[in-house]
Amino acid sequence: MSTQGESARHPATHLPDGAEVRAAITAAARERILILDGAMGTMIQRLKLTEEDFRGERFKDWHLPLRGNNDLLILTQPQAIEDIHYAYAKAGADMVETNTFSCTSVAQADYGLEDEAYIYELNYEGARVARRAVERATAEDGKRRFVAGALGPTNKTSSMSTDVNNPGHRSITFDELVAAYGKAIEGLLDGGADTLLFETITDTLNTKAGIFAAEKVFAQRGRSLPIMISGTITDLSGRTLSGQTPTAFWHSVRHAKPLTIGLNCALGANAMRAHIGELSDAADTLICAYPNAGLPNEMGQYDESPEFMAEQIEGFARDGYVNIVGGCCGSTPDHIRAIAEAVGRHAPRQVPEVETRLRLSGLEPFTLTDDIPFVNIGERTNVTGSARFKKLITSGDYAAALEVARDQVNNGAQVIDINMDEGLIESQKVMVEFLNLLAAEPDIARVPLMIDSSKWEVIEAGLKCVQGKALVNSISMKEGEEAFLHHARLVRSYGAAVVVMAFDEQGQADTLERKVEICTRAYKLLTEEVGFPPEDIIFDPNVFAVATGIEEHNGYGVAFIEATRQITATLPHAHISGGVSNLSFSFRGNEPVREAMHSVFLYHAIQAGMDMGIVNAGQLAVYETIDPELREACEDVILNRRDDATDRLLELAERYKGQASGEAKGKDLSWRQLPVGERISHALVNGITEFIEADTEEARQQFARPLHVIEGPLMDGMNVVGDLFGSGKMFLPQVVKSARVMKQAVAYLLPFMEAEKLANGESERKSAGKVLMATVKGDVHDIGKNIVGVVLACNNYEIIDLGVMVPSSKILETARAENVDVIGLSGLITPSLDEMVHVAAEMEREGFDIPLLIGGATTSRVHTAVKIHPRYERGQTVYVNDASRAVGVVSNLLSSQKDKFVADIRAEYAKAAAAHARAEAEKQRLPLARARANAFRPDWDGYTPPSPKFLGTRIFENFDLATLARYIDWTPFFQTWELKGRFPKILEDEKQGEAARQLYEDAQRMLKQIIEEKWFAPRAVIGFWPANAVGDDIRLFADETRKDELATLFTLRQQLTKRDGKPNMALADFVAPAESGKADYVGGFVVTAGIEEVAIAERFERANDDYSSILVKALADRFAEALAEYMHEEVRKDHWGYAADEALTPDDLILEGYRGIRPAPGYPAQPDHTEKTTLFRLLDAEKAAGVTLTESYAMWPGSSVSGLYLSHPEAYYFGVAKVERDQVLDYAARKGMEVEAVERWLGPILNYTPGPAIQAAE
Amino acid sequence: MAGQFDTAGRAIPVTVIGPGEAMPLPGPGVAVLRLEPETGHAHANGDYCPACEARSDVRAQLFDLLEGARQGLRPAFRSVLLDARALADVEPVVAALEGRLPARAMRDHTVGRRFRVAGVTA
Repeated sequence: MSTQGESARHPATHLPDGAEVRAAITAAARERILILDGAMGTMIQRLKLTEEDFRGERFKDWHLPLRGNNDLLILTQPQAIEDIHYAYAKAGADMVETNTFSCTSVAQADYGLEDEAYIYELNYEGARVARRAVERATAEDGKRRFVAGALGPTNKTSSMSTDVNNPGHRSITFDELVAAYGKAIEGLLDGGADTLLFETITDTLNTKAGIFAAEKVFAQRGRSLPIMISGTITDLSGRTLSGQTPTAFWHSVRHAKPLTIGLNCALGANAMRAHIGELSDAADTLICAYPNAGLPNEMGQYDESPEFMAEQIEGFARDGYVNIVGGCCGSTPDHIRAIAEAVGRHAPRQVPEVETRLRLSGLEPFTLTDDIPFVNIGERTNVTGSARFKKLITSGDYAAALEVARDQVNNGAQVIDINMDEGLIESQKVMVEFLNLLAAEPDIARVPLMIDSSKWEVIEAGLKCVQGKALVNSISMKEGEEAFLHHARLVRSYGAAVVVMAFDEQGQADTLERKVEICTRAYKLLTEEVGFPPEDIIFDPNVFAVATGIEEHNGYGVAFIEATRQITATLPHAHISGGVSNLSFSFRGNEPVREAMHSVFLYHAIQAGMDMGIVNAGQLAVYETIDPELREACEDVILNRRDDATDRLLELAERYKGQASGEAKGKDLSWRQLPVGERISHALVNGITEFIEADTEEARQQFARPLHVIEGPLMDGMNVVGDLFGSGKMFLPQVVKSARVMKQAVAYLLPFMEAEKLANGESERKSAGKVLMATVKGDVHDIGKNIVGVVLACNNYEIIDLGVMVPSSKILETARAENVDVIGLSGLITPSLDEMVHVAAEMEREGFDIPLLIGGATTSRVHTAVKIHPRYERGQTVYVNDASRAVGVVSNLLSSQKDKFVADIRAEYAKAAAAHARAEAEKQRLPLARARANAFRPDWDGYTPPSPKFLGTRIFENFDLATLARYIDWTPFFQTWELKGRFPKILEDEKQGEAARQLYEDAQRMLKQIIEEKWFAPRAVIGFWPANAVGDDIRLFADETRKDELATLFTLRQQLTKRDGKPNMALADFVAPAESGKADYVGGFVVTAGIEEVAIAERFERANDDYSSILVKALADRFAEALAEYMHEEVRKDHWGYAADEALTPDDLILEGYRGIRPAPGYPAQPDHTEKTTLFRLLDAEKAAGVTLTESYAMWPGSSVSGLYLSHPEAYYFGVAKVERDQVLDYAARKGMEVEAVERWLGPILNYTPGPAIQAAE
Repeated sequence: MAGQFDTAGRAIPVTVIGPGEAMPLPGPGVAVLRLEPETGHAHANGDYCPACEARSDVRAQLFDLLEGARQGLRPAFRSVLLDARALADVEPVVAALEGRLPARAMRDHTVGRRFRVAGVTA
């Protein structure tokens, strides 16, 4: 092994000059698109080398197998490698990559070759062999070629855990990567590489470590090389493997001033196209793209031919996306030749001028543009700023601490500040642990981070954990210029932006002059000495307390504001930030005044140029809404406008003392004086979350165990809520709000209970009972079920919610596995009734005896008594007509009173069933033939049906949500919440008015948000077809010739005896019969509020906010109905156009005062849900609107509406009501369905008991 | 009272169907993902290639299902039927789903949280 390290002693004689290389490549790239080589691995594979070939003479006795270590061939088969480089050079490559992809100690460890000497030698020789090849080619044709020193990603990741169950774990650290890359870079640099190429990047933080290492080596060797950077995107999300968008990735590595940025590897050129386009727009440097030759096929070969690949890459060139192109896996010299020829026909991309802006990144990019007047930096994850966060961190509850971060991001923080400066914790360790955990949460890690500490080593440790471009808070000249420059250079090497405090050797700047002087000095040092980009500098000119009574302090506010104005005017691109809460320090405890001061201060400072700040946005008064007198007084103080300003504000402040801040302002807060138990009760009853954590904490300290707080004051409070609800003094929306308070209190206590459990290994507290809840198979409606769940949970029942569309097997399995006490079934559509019967029969069959609760809009006491109850003899089925009854029913069923309760129910159901049977018998039925004879027959001779403006279907999207909102019918919205009455009268209702008003207010607030933030993306598809009635059916035709039948819509006819000569209606009666000779039409529609609602509701649920979850679902339902109403109007006025001059207000629309109807299958005029299949097929609704039918013909997403359009002036909504067997037989024959199937779907409207079916089941 | 705050059970259920087993009929809301047998890649053995991995790794493909649904390229789904009948052994697939194989990408963490193995028929 005498050659080890030998090469280091004989450095290559003509080493490239990095600046010259950069200039040469940049100049050449201005003239034409440059060519990078193709795959090395593919070419090596063709050589079919053996283990012996890989080992060569030197490693013939190596203790590990070496076949597959392609990079080792640099040492053992150097001629073969040189020949491949040469082949690429001759094929047209301007640049060849060294065969050193895996030449780091991390990757070579697999072969036992991780020793530094080998790593150095491999890279050194790798550069030399490539250099020999290009010089050979140049000697032949005189063309200059470059050697790119390839650096692979290593096979480890520093920004992610390899263990999904332990997201904080890291298999390699930043420092280890710096060491590993450093050694490789030394070899490449000494061996004569022209550039360094970080390629196939799977983890941006690894590459940041590589860049850091490169700068370190450059500084040591006194020679630097241009850096090239190439990421990899392999999935549909368009993110790098570590989760960044292309632009976020660019922001993270831009500090390397890379010669090129781009992408390689991936799933072929086409899959790369959009991402290269994005980088091309974002990056003000050369773009380099070298995709794989397609995808590996079944044989592990890449299957894009040279011509095909060249054609695709030519597309990049044609669009002006690229400056350098080449090939990755699967490409060969033939590919490179074809690519070179293809792109040679196109001009290279022009490097764009990119505006000088502060550009940060997390997983997503953030650019501070003029549209953003002020960056609000979230401060809740700062132990010095948030007592709660401090408590969570000191108790090691990282999960809850992450939730704090998540909330901030969800609430719109554009950057979050992380500060762990607390005497009792190991700040550096905790910073690293928290950042590592946070990196695994894509919804938090998407925003840039501010790494905040007064200790440099904590900042540095933090910077080594973040793959995005972070902000450092802060550095200063407190310890002199040298330390300042050292820190600034490091911040730059880690690729972060920086907050600089106006602080120098003499102390913190307090006057205007000192602030400006220090910031100016720092700016010069940073931009001139360090080369720090000015847009990455944020000055904090120090916010100090004013109105302290000390005269010198009076000018602090003005000093900050004026300094801001001067700094932003004289130091180009620099930003201003500050911690605003210091300002009002002397008014601690007087929140209204503090908020007003902050608001006034920001108002003026932002105008002066302050564009960032650490502020609690939730506690900021709106400048316009501040009491003018207070505002004036604050302005006097902050702007130092009069000598007695402080005294006047102090005097005025007295008036605001003791008032709460924000929302509760102006409300009566006398209840805060009550003992803690009563305060908790008050908060629960009134749904006030503001103080609940503090009160819960206070209660916790009074009780021996956290559990006692739940069992004591919290349950007492909920009992009050329960009593008020039961007696009709509280209403559902209010109860759900109470539940929200309860949940927050319990969530606060949970960490303590967990800790206690850990401490003494106790078992969990016993709940009042376990209730399993499910919306049955085929049904997607769950609002009612969720409400019942919340109400029961508040009463100490443990709820297992299986969600929607739950098959009976799942219900029963879970019930058994979880040993539940009660099962509750919910459903809204009529087929669910039969599914409930099925579940009941299954419970009987499987030997269950626990109570079964039935609820939901279409369920009824009679149906339960007649259809469900008889199927489940072992246990008791109970119909629960509304949520308020649920607690009473369940507690009775689980109590010692059960027997009597059950006996009462059985008696009641027996009576109901008997009454039902009698009523049925009494009904007079009309044979189908006679009903048809009494059909509705308008005068067709004197009538010409209108023709629609188009035939076939049309899709509509991009609706204006504000417009749709005007079409909302609020009455059903209140019904969802079991508030019964017409809107808007219900708001004034004596009993329900208050609840209704509050609910309406909350709904309006959310509605505003839905509209502003575009929560929903509604879609609609409508269609029209030539149609004529044939008997009770409507035939649709393919075109106006009415020869080819497209479909048949089957309709059902009323069979009850009619008095007063009224007709027996069927929907077909509204369409001109074929024999009339009139050309009539029928329309159809499917509209949906969109799928977004589901995710939003889930997000609220996860945040323990069932109230909002139910609210958003209810509003989504309203939007779907509103869209149906809106589209119907458009149809009448425009698409069908028979009522072009209709002028109705949305309120009139709700009262249906217009011509034409839009009946839906499954509703009274056509109760057969299966008719939706025809409608959906005609409209191709799944593709057109994204709405599908479940096996029970419910629509998914649930907030969808479908139906037919009928235009006849006399058309109206009627109910088919009960039908007879003769019609069912006829209908089944017409439709070509089994009679049993029709009976099953029409079950609820059969006027007879379908004999065989019932018997078979019993 | 712990149950009601427990949101862990919300992961999307994945049912793995192994070689020789009958494929159940998927209902609405069920996404079917067919896994192709691993055919190696055009690299030296042991070399890591993100592209080859994206093609064969079950987590990469489940992530694409999620993304596809999020971007509206495919219908939303509530459960997944994993047709692994073409594979010699379903164990590596189950190991990946249960987080017993090392994560290579952010998406592997997402998949680890968003999906759970509901059943293995093999």
